[in-house]
Amino acid sequence: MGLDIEQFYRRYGPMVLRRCERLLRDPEKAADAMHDVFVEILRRKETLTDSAPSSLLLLTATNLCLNRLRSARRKPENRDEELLMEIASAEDPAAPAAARSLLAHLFRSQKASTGTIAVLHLVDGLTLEEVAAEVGMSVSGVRKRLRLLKARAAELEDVA
Amino acid sequence: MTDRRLPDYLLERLALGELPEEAARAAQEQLAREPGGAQRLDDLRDSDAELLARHPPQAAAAEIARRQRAVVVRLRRRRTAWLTASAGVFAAVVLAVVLRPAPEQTWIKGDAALLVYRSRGAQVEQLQNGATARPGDTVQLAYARARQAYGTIVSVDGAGKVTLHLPEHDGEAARLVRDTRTELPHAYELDAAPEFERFFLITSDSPFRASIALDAARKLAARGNAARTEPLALPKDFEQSSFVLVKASP
Repeated sequence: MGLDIEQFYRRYGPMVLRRCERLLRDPEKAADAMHDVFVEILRRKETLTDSAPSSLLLLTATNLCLNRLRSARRKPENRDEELLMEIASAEDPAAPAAARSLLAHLFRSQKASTGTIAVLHLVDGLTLEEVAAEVGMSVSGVRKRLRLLKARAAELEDVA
Repeated sequence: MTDRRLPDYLLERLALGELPEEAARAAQEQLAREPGGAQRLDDLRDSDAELLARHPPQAAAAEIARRQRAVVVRLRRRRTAWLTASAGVFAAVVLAVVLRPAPEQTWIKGDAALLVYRSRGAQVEQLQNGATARPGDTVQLAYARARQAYGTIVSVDGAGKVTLHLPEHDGEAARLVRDTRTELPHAYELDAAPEFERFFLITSDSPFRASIALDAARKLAARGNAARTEPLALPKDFEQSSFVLVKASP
């Protein structure tokens, strides 16, 4: 599939960059993440079937930023950041597997990562219905994932 | 819910016209109810212009393309690390490719090894000569143990198409990195050509034009199925080795 990267970036780059800046709160790290988001999408472009890639780009950016937050483990500066760090830490401990499952979902086979779902609902403020539509799951499925994440967060708190 | 601010996430998709119809209508209505809602779309457009000025498309696209090329190499290294709890194991793998050519490998005089890796998702594997591959597989070529100074890599496929891989453009043969495993700057996606994809590494002690290898490859390609097993007809001061991938149906 021939894809003009420059045109693709011109249309979606600012959106992806804003997303990464919002989640990472660091312009330099956000720019770095933004490039990697495009690389992830383009690596699988032959299976990219969605005619509205903004959703795929935003979900990929969310997942990638969560992974980076998880490894950065910096001290949160406000409640939003604190929440993000909690989500990043509480997500499935097998993070690479979760990342794979998000990507698989993006390319139409599996489900989104729990952390991504949590960010959409708890940080972005999407309703459960909107989250479900974004990630291609049922509302009850989204609710169940959020419950699991909450339980995991509580477990971590107990350990701490 | 009616008094909430439209989430930025949905605003972005609305601005791009990529929300499903019903969701777009709901988002528009919500924005209309919001104080300063309409202004948010204008602000987004201003932000687009500012960010594109800060990260110009041409430079960003070049960086994305650079990372895209590097990603297969990175994955390969990860795989290599797994393969080689000790460096010796990897050396043994390379040596096996060099010293024990599989039945379909044509090995003529040369010492240099042509290495082929395949990336499928997060998995990268080193392929053995004669391995089966599918259209759409991403393969990374590398060479190792080059003793001669100049080289080219060309391929012939089952449809008779000849492709130059090293150097990237027709001209002088590439100067090889001696005695070090060296991957080509780009990974390749296999197309739907039938039967096989055969790569040739051609080396010489003296500089030569890549067109010599290309011409020999075209002549061989014209011989149909012989291109799968026969060597390139080259002057005797050239050395060559080859690697065949058998194509499976898509």
